[in-house]
Amino acid sequence: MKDTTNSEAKKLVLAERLAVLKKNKAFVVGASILGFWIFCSIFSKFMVRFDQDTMDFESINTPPSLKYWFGTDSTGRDVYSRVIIGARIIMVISFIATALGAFVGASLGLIAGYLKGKFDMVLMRILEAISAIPVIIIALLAVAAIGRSSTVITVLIIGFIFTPNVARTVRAAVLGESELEYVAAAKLRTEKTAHILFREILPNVLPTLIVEFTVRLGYAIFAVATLSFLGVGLEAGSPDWGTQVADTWDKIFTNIWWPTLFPAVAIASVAVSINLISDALLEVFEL
Amino acid sequence: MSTIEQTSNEVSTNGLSRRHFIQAAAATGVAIPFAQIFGASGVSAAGTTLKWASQAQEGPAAPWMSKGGSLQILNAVGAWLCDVAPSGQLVPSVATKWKGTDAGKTWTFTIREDVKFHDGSALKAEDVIYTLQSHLDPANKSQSAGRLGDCTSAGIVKVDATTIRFDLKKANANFPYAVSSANYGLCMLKKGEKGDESWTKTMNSAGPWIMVTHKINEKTVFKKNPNYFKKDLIPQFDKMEQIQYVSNSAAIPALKTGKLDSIHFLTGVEADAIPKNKYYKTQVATCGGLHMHMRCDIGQLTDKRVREAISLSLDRQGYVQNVMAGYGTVANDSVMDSFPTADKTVPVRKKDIAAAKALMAAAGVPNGFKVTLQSWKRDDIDKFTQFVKSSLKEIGIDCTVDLDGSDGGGARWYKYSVYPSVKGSKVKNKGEWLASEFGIAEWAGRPVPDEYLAREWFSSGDWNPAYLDAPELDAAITAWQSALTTKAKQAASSSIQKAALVHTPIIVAYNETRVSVTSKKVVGVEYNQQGAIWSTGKNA
Repeated sequence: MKDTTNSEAKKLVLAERLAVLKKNKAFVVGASILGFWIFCSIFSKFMVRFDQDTMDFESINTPPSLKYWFGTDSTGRDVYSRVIIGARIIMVISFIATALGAFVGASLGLIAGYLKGKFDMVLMRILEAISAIPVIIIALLAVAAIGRSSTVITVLIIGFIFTPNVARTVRAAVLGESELEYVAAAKLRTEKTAHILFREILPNVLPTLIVEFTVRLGYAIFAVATLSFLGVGLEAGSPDWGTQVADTWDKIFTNIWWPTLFPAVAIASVAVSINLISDALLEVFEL
Repeated sequence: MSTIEQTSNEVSTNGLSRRHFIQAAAATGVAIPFAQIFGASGVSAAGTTLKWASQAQEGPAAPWMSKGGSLQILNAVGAWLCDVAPSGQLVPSVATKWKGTDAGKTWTFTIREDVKFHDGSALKAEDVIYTLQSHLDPANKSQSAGRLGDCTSAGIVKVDATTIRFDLKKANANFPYAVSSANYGLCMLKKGEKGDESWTKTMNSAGPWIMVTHKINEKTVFKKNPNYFKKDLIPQFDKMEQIQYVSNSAAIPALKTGKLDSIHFLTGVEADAIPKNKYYKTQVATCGGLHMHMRCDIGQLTDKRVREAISLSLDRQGYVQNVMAGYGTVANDSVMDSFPTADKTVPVRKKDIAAAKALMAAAGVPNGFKVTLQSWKRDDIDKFTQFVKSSLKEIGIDCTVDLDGSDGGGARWYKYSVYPSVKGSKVKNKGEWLASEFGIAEWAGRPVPDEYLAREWFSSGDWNPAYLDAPELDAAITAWQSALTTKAKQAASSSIQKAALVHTPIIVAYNETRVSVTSKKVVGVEYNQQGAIWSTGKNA
């Protein structure tokens, strides 16, 4: 009976928060933009007008037109098709990388916040040391050490980079939660540590984790694009947005701006949309 | 003109009568007065600096370690036995004349007596001998050693104070080119001085420019050498700054804002987009370009039908005409096509997807396979790899492109951990030029094809990235090297072209035209085929 009451109360709170979110203009705008790109990433094959790799030698560096909505690049590839196809790449990679960082970071944060003591102190100092190094430097060092870059390496690097931030945020939340009575009750029931961490505490720090996840997702979009721009991210010539900008930016000086502008706007729009969403979530969850 | 001299003329890369005349005259040592007539005036532009952009270095600008990107620096400070003019012709330099005897097996060079190193000391025959022998010493691991072909240390003999004789292991009608500025690593070293990275601190040679400061992959500042032995070619600028950009396109804003006077090696499309009222364009047709090798000994490309299918998937004519805006010439998968001795009756490959698919099916891979194309990040390579990727898709090959962008580009790709490539060694794919299944190396132009043939296409060549071992191709190359008449060269060229098409170890889709753009505030800037500045011109 008590469980049912709790469950209903949680549903009520959730419904209230969703209602608040729906009224939040920033959230609506952010969700609409992000929704558009998620739609593009799922249905990209039906939205493109040409194969993203096909070169039309008769249409080199063509400005935006009815045939080529976003123009063509210096090898005659359709910029619109590449931007749409690129959405899937950057969304999937950013999501997986953020999820990886959130999973590892949340696990470490839960353990450190719950166990406290020397383990907590040593782990936090290590994570702080990692956080002190600029993200791009870590990425470049990792690529240099491994000797090559690839999609998997990009995901692992971004996941690794995000782990300390997520861990610190979750740990801070767990420190407060672990002093509450429901945790003490679980201990009295001699529940296993894993049960207490993942079944008792985790659900209660989930709002914090969700907000942190969205913030990190925004950073991940930028990180993937930046690494690709620097040539240490995804495959050369890939239609991901960062690579497109990297491959074309220097043509701006010869007045060929369209192959750079559209992927750059795409990056900016996704990053802004995720920031709008995370701001709204912060407000709603009152964090 | 002797037979050997005539042959040298006819295999090199041009056909202008004046240049033929100068080249012919050069071989007999009478070119200098004419060069003075045709050269720039001696008016000095006091206190002036020429600033130009060049490509990033792939390694230190040191004679024993020379790699692409460093040649511009070496060409500024260095001096060679003979120089290759932008036309592709040999002209005298440290050597005033040269002569081949014993059917091209022995070559004798007469050296000047008025050449001085930048440190003021006189250049002697011993310095020339030391320079060349230092490259041939295996301990120095010189990357230019392979350029000397059949020359041995013992075969370099001082005849007298101004005469040096080369006794080759076998005849080579084009040997003077091997010791020319085309082989930029062979610039004159002072006897006893090392040509390794330590040399970059002084860059002591005998060229027209003296190094003042050098920061690898950033900027090198030179001052003019007032004692340069070619008096008519003493620079008319006091200083020269060579600034390196990862992408030459990235230098365009600096040119437009007056921070640069000239950019070498832009794409034709980029060059055409720069305002013509303030800048002028110069072009040099070269036999250089991108060479895409396919391993013949290991991996998925060992079947020559697959290699031919890959070649037939490429619309090289369309690529040159449209992507390169016509700034290049279509090549036919050999390095012989742009030379006057080429057999023009050999049919040029054209895109033929049906034939390519049939070859794939015959090779047992009708549905294609996955392969990784490797190289390093540079504007033209970026574009070409995407062209290849897009083309291979049409015959079912899923091509992943892996471009090395480390250390400004090429540090991993040109690591040379397996240098030299050894015949029959079955080196595994390591993602380096000489250890990659499917890769692209960029080659600058050469006045004659000998270096490409000896190092890249011969089965025992030290830069043989395809690891092809084809006796008929080796025989044709050997015939080319020893051919002393134009007719014999043409016959050998034809055999090389045909054997290259049979085996397709390397795809040469085009030969590039190098385009430079210079501010009209400076007149007379001229680059050679390899991309080195030949004349810095003067202020307008």
